[in-house]
Amino acid sequence: MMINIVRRIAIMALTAAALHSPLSMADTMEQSAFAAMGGKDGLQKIASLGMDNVLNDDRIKDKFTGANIPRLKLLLGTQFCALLDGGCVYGGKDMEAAHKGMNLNDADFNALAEDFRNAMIDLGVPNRHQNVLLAKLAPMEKPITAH
Amino acid sequence: MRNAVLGAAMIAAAVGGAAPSYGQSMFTTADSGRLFATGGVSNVEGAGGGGISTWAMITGYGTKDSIGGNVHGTFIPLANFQDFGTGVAVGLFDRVELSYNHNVFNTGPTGSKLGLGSNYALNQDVYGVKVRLFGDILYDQDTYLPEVSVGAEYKNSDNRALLHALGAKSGTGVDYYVAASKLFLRESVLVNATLRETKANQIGILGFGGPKNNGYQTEFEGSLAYLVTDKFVVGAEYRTMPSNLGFTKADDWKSIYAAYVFNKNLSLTVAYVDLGTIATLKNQNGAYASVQVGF
Repeated sequence: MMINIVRRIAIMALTAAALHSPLSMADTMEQSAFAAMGGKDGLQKIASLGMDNVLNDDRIKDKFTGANIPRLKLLLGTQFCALLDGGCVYGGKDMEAAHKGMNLNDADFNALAEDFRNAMIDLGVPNRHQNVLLAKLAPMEKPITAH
Repeated sequence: MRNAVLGAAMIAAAVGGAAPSYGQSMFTTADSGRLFATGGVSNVEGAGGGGISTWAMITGYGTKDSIGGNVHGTFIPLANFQDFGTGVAVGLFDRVELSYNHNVFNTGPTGSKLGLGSNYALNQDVYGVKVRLFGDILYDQDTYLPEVSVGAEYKNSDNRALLHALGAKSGTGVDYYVAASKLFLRESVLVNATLRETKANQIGILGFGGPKNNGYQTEFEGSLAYLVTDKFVVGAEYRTMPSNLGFTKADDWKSIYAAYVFNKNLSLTVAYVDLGTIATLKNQNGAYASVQVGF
């Protein structure tokens, strides 16, 4: 009886562990996107090219006058990696603090999103994977356009 | 006729506003700031939606700080009839959508068989207003909350004598609806569900009410779409119809469609539609092609 209960608990615990282990389970959409984008290096490329697009985008380039672009690119790449569960820790400011005083509105936010999406398109990232990252970025509209 | 002229004037005004570069537009707050394919296209009643269903999104590419708008032309050649729709719609601050659509429903050679004369046409005007209550189709990716809007459509069909002869109780009617749309961006899937209170026979082209029923009935519009790319969407729609008239039944409408957004100024929607029985003629299947120009 007791052994039975212990065995049951052990099976339940193992099952739970298996369900939460990335090794024993099909990749999540985030993990698939992370891989499809070329891992950390690939995301860094997306961040870099996306930021270049922003700086060439007449709609919003003026918002980044005086910004430390190389640092911004690094932070963005790390943030994308963290958002896709790629094992990175984003150490930058939160989104509201990071964009405070820039007076970004929804059109600016959407322009940013478009520029990064265009970077993913140019780097050959399939649409379904692009959307996984964009879905992580979309809710940032509120904090980014707060001021 | 007056309505058609008004419609043409509105279209001309909207085109005039859309054609210059955004900065010089008559709508100084137009910025086309919304992302591709987040506004839907113009549906058969002129509202923002799919081909035959209505969506919660406010039409055009305007954000909450700006105005968007578009004009469209839609051609639906069916087995025995053809519908040609033209219309104009504006989206105000991602909150209010105002739309006008004119449908010319041509009976073609079938008109003679129905005793109406060849190429007999039924004309319909639809004036629509839609108000977004809450939710954002794009930004709300961290919640299951959909974007929800309510709307009303005033529909006016000419050929009153014919409509009454067919058994319709009225040539005008007002539809009320509530629409919920949810973009599951992570999954690239867009889901829409709309409940409509209506008396309209074939969206009102055959008038409103009839001997079988003259009260409002609750009808359903649903659609499911997949975002193949940022510019290309494929989907399917289903729309239930009341069957009020005595001389003919009405079937639910179905469609499968593909929409291609060339850029924020031009999109093309093509579909295969199955509108069932219309005025006793079964299997009204056919194509659907719609061009939308806007900002």
